[in-house]
Amino acid sequence: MIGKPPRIAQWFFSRSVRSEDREILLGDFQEFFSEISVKKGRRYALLWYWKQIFRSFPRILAHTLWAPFVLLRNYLLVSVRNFRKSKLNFLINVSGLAVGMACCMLILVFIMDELSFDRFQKNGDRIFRVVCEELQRGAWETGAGTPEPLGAALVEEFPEVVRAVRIYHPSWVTKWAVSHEGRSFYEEDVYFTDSSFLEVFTFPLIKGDPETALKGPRTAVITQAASEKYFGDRSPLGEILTIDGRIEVRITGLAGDIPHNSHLFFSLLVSFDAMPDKWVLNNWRTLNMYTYLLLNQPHSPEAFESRLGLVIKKNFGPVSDFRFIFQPLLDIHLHSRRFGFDLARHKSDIAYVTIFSLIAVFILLLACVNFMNLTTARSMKRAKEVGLRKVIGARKSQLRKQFLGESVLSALAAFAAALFLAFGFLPFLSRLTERKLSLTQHNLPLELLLLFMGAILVGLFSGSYPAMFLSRFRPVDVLKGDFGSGRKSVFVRRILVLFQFSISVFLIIGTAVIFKQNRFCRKTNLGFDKEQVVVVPLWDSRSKAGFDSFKDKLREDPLIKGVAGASEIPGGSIGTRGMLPENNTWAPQNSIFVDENFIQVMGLEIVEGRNFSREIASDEDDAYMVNEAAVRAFGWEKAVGKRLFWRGDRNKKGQVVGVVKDFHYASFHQKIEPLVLMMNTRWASYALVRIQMDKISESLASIRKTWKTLHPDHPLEYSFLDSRFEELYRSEERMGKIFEFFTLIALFISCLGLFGLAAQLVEHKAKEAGIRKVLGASPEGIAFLFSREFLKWVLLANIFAWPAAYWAMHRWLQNFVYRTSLGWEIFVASSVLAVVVAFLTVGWQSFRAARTDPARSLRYE
Amino acid sequence: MGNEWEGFFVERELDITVISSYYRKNRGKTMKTLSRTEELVLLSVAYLKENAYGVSVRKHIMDLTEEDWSIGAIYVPLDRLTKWGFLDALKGEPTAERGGRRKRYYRLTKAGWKALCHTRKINRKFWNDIPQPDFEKE
Repeated sequence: MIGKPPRIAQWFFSRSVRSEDREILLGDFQEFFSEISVKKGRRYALLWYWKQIFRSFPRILAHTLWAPFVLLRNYLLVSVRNFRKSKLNFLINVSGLAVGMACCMLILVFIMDELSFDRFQKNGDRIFRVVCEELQRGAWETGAGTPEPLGAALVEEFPEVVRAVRIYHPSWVTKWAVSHEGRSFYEEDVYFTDSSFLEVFTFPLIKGDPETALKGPRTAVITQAASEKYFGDRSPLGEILTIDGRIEVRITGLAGDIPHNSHLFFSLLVSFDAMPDKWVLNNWRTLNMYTYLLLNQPHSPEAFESRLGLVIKKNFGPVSDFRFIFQPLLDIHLHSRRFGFDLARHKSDIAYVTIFSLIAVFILLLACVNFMNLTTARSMKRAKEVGLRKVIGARKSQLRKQFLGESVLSALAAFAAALFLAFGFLPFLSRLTERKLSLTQHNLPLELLLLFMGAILVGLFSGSYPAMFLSRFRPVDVLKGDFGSGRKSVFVRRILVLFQFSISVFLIIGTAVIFKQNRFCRKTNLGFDKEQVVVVPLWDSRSKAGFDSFKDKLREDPLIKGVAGASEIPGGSIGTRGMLPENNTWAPQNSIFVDENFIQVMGLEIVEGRNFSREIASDEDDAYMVNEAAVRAFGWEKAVGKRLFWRGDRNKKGQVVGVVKDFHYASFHQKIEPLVLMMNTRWASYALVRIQMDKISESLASIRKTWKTLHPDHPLEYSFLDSRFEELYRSEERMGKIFEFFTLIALFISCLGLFGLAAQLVEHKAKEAGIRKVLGASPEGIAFLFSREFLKWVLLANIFAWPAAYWAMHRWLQNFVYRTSLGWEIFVASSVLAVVVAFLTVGWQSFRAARTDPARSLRYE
Repeated sequence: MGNEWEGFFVERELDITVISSYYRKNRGKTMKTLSRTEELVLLSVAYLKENAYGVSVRKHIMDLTEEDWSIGAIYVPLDRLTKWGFLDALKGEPTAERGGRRKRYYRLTKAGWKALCHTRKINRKFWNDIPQPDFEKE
């Protein structure tokens, strides 16, 4: 013996021949091999051996491709026949899957949109925002406002910090009156910022040089959309805009429209030197500036957050209840919902992303389970086919493949339908989420491919159980006509129903709790009267200056019950200003400048001391009112007469004259924080007008008329105070609606499954119903008997759903400091709803079966 | 043919498309004259008696014809003849020089012998009346 061919070659060889010839041919070829190696050497023999293998490749390839193709054709044929034979079942199956997939796609689009925020920024991984955290009664409160000198100090102190960008966008001026040659508009998003803004952030200019555009003095960059309002199609470069009637800026750049998924959303960028509030400059005590940093490389910020302590120590002295944190740019959209003070207006929360991903998975799972359930339930119909195939020699694995292929086919049909559904519902979802969502905003072909693969996976997953189940039939039993009792499969199907309804009940409870909490937010007494108050913003300095005459004129009208001015209003964002209360340390406190009518117009209650008064001249300079929370926080026993120090544009030193009862000036997410009211009528940015409830339109007309006589060239903008509060819970409200929508869908899918199962059962038990009727059972009794079998499991599903829902919703409610209770009535009502819906689905079917003439069902016996 | 073929008889369509294409060429040939190769293969098997298997059959044919015969040229007719029932295939004992693998021995069947005789008869008929050609005039 002259040695063997290499093992690997033998392996290849054995792959290329029929299994029954394998042994013989391997042996024969080994003989040839040794003969050739004797004659011509081993090397030649080796070459020869490999050549034989390679020459057989084309044939092997052809066979391996051809055989499955032939099989596939048969499977396809059988599948299509099956689909045709049971159209209703197929429809239920596919529509369930389609709705599930469409939901998933929609949620996916939504999540992708949420995650895409600020990703277009080229320096995204190197940009950080500095946020401030204050320790307030044991909890760290975060806000995005920072002192003005911080940016420069950080650049100086840390070599890692390449650039610092300041953005000034004060909380008390949300809109600026901007005018150009008689055209004037209120612009909501005017940023006073450094020239490095355009360098750090990726907002390409269509016209103008990004290097010099914001270098000043008094220059501005305008966005395309804003430019069209003022200049039409003309180029805005070199034009002059007047901000607030006093700041004139020259436009040096035209920026493209801002992507909707940017948390920075400006219409006008103004060079920093044009910033009007100079008292903010070099002031470490007010937190009114947004600071963004560009680092030299994607550091983890922890590396020098510790060194930040030095900066604080240098400028604040030894304080332990105050710190700076670096927030990565990409975290801003999803991780700053709790921030009291923030630039980003369309913030979302990572919790929503998680919750919606979970819902998507749940709904898809529901649809898959449905599919498994119905396919298995129909297995009796396929049993003969399986038996026959087995008799002729089909192997289990082949049958498994066949049924898997069938479910993949259904999944693909569902996928096509789902695409249509998703496209159809996209505008609806866009409205619901208040986002411009589109399926095509990312890489469409890739997405479609991924979705397609997802659909195939769904098909494989939902086909796995039926395939396993069907391929297990024993041909002897099946062909004899004995399907076996199928106890086990029935049990599994019931478990699947249990699972589906657990999820449905869970979602119903979730929706109910969200609904209840939203109602709670809307209906609970806030500590002041938010109805019937009209908020008239005074955006520009002219209307600010004209506030007094506006007030006096309005007061003449008997319809108007009161007019007050305030720098910030409850329900909006409240500025923080550094305060030094007596017997306490310096800390930023929420504060509002108001006039003497504020208490009356808002309907606040004074529990101690007195209101501000016009008659007392010193009030304007040194009178303060605080809320009860502030009294507690400052550790005062008797507040009136306590001294308070504020460092603002001038040093305002004064004393507390009164205490107002706590009221909810912020959302229920936050505890009622200390609040300081200061008297200053020149700072009024809003006029609060209390009107008569039954004469709303007349009152509004009166306000409009008064405004018109005073400011003929500016339009009146107004809103109702209560709508501003509703705005605070907008995201919850929205979430509630979306939740509701998806709950309905989940319930729909579950019912679809139940419906299919019930139809199956009724068909299966037609004879039983007939015999029972003959023996004298009433149709109602039979219907009840049949429904009971399912209702049992639906009821059981509640038991699983309750603890899970309790846990999840309890956690969700933790988001609110002021929250409703998780009453038992929610759980009971949700369960009753689920049971009723299930009963309607099953009951109708069983009742129909019970009503049929027994002669018909027993005819063939 | 690969492994996937096992159990393919389940499929009716498969029977028609693949198997028929395999046999179509040889349909109705069973009782007719053997081809030259088939004849040689059958004769070799008959000559080799107990020792007739792929390698020995090929070797025998190559020795007598003094030509190189490809493996396929021997193995395909062997298979075909077995299918037609002219040869029986038997499993032998594993041997060491083949790496412990069995041989497939072939044995001539009665039908095979008949077919051989039939072919010889035809051959004879053709040869019988052929005179020695006269090449000298050319």
